Amino acid sequence: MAPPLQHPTGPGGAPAPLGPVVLRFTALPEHVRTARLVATSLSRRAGLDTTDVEGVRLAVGEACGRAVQRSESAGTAELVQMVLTAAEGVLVVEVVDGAGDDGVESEEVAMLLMEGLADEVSVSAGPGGPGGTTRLTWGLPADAAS
Amino acid sequence: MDLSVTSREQGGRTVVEVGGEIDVYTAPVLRERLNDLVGEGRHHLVVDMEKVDFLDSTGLGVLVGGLKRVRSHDGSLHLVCTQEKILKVFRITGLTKVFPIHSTVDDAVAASSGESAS
Repeated sequence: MAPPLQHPTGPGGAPAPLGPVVLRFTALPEHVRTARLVATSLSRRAGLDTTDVEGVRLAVGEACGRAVQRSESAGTAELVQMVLTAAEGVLVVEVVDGAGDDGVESEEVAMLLMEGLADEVSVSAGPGGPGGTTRLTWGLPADAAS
Repeated sequence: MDLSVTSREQGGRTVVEVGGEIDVYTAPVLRERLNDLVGEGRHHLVVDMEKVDFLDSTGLGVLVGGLKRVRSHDGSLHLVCTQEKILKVFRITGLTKVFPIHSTVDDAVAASSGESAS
């Protein structure tokens, strides 16, 4: 199913599959910006337009901010992990924390934003317990995927 | 720190100019500044967001907190914002119904002055 290996991308060329790119960081608010920068850079390379890149920037920031707040609240020293992959026409960003069920309660605004900006959002269990994995996906432009 | 906050008086209102990124890391700084202003008796705020490059849910929380705080003193909080990417954040979360949002500081000051002479 995977498209045949093409020439590596040029700006404007059809991007080849990208990633995975993995970032692991201490659950501190100051690292969320770093995670945003990584995600923004990869989504731009994957061929998303400016509006969607801004969407990735914000939604990934929300997912990582949520992971940091859950980790702080649970008092876990586990690192937060973000994995990004762009392949088969889809950009997938997965953010995993080590916190358990006792995470933060007021996540509604963050969820609203992620749902409003990503094509799909799902929250499932992480290694520490329920709610520890946030998965965001965006469809890549058709001309970039073919 | 990737956030700047400065304030000045204009037309009897306090204009708070915010620049940079308001996120989970920097939002506490903005919260503190808004709290300080309200504590000094400045209850009519105009927050100028034109130089804000990024706003997340934590930042929204701080603005909502500021609004509640000034309202408890019969004050007001108006926003200035024309950037589509920032407006989108307010729209998705339904907060365009909560905050009066203006295109210029002058408009915001005029609207704020019009609704309640201080």
